[in-house]
Amino acid sequence: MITLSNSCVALLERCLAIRKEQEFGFRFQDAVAVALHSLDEYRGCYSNPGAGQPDIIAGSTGFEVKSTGSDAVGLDGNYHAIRGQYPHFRLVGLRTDLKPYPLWVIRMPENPPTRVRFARVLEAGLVSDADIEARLGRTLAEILCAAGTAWSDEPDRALGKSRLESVRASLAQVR
Amino acid sequence: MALRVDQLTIPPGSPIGACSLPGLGAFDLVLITGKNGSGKTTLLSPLDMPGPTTGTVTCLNGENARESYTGAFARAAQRQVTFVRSRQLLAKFEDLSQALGLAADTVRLQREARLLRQLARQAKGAEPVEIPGEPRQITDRKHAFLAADRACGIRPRTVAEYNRMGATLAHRAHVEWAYQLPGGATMERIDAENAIRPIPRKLDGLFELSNAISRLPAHMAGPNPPQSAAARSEAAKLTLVFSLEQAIGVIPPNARPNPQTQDLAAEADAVIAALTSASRSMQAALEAKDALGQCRSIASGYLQAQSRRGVAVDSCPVCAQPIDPAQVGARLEATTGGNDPEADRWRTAKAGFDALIGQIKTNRSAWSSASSQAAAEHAEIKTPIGNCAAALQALVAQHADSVTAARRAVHQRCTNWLADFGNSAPSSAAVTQAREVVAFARQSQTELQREEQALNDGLVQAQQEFAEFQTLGTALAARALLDEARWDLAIDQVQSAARQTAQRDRWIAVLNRMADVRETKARSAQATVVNDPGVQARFTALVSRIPHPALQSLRYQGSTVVREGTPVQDNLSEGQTALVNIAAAVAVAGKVANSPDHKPGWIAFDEPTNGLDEDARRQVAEFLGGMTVQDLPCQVFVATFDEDFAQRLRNAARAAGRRVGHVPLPPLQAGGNCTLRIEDFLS
Repeated sequence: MITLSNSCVALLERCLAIRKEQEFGFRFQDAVAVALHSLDEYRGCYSNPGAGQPDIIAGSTGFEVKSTGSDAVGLDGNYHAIRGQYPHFRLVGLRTDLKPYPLWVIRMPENPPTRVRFARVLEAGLVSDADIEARLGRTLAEILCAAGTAWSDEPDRALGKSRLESVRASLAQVR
Repeated sequence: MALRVDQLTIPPGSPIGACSLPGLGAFDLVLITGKNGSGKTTLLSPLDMPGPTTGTVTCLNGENARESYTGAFARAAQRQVTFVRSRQLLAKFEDLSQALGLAADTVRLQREARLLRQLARQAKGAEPVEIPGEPRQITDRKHAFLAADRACGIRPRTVAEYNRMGATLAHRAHVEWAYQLPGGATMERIDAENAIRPIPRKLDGLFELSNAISRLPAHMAGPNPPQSAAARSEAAKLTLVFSLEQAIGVIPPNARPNPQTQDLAAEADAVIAALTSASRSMQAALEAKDALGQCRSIASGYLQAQSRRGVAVDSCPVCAQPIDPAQVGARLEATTGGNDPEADRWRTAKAGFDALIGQIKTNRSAWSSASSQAAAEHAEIKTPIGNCAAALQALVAQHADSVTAARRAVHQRCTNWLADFGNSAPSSAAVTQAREVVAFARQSQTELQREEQALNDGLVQAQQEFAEFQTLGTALAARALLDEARWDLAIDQVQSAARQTAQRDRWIAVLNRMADVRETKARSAQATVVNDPGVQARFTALVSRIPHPALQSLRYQGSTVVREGTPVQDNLSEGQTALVNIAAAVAVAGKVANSPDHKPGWIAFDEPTNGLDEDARRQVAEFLGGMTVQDLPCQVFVATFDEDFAQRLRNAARAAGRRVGHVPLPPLQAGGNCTLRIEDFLS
């Protein structure tokens, strides 16, 4: 588990306040997709809006992105089948009831649980992917802060995502 | 009566000290009187809750055997015997359900439900578990960051973008830009930004040159200037000269003025004088000619008159010279008749002289006026040109080259004009030349202003970009400041607080559920009592005795009484409420659950007349006291401070056949033990 930077949390919190929970979930998923795209090993990742598939797919790696206002998140899809299809299946979880917002990237076992309690990850035998957690958190904060309120305040989700992609490109140029 | 109280024993620790009241079993109504605070309620308290602190009750059972109303016996009695034991019963007559609760044995349930509700309320109203929230420092910085960020529009909020903009602005301002991290010291960032702030550029010396040029008469540089006063003066002079030449042509040569004079005004005066003289001469000749004509007319008349008289005139009567009258008459006839062309010519010449005089005077006046205006105009031109020349005389080394060249040229033009026209008479040439000087100066100024404007091309855009640059710097600095702030709390703390809050909410829910269960049970038990036909019959019979027609049709429904299906308990007066409550209490007192014919044990009324007026107290005394043993088959205890009420109750009870015992309580003495005795009114 890592905690996001204060400025990143401020922007996410603003987005949550303006867009409400469901829309915020979609926006956060976009942000994670753009951030993952900045990581070398997931450069070709893409968002997958279809049901029965991970939210973000990068080769044999699938990411399920969940944001929750409580300790637990339900995995009520056919995650067993998804896990079978994507050996490197990860759950990206964000808790918005704690501050600074904590972020988890949890490796999904062969038999994914139907409910994950973030406070009991270890007890449940789940393992965090600390490396991706740290890099994703850093990149997410970098991209969100570079886009700023132009992302959170943008009423159109697609336009908001394009702002993230735009700043990702400019950040890549700087690097 | 199944169970009767025989003796009350109050322990030493009670407010009235240790005392014992025996002999109660012989009475159906025990009246306890005494002043407030004398211990009436303390004396009744064992009836409510016997125990080591309240006291004990010794009862007589059905076989007149003595039993102590404590422990297992009391519990057994509660199960087996219907009795009303609460000192609260109908005290203050606030709620019909009190009697019902007692009768249905739901007091405990109701009390527990109340306590549970109270606990739930207390838990809810207790200081909430404070979940460690966002520190004020972070909240403040967060708001500052979001506010600054919103001003950035869609520009990327990156340090690279900030430095790119800084470098661009620095290049424009021809200064260096050092890489900046906006999260550093605020003043350093602001200083670095201010160093590249786009500022308007000036052409050195243009301001001074413009000031000098502004001294020149502005109206002379405009298009289509009006005719100058000098030109008008010159035209007037030509007109005057022409009229003088014309006049000199008609003046006789011997009367013409000296043509050598240079002064046009003097010449005009001389011409006017000559014309005046010629006109006067012509006038005199005309007058002489008129006199001659008159003489000729007289001579002709004289000759004709003499001729008509037949007198021959052969000599002149004036000079006596011989004359030929015929010849003279013919000559006179010829000169006196018809027109005189010579006189006409003279008149025409005189009129011409007079007209020329007027014309010359007019022209001279016009020329004089125009000359004055031209002189003023000349002065108005000369002074500013002189000032401008003086202001531009000294050159300043710091001034721009173009400004210096223009300054020199304008100064030269002014100086030339002053040399050419400064000391000469006003002339249209001077005005024209001055106009050229002013136009040249204005043109030079305009060109220099354009040159200065060209220096500031793109300034507005640069300033706008600088504002965006500053905004970005502020946002980046605010972000850095926000990220520096630390949360002085661990997530475990937050989770623990959240768990405590959830736990508290669960407890509140459990307490409310327990209260719900008890209230439901109580309502169920009370409904059984209320719906019992015996209870309803007893209530109807009792209220029918109340001397209020409106109360006699009431039906008892537990916590309410209704008339024709409508609850009316809120419409009853205080006294009526007391009476109805007593009826309800007595009606349900004989009811035990599932046992309609059960005999009640005892019923206690503690201060049943509180808040009632004299009439209501009398009605309560008569109503309560008027109940026979059959109406109320149990022992009745009444505690009151009201001696009149006690007297009425005693009389009514005795009239109803009840055996009345009276226990007067002495004033309470702290620490002392009271000695009680019961008075038998029958004895």
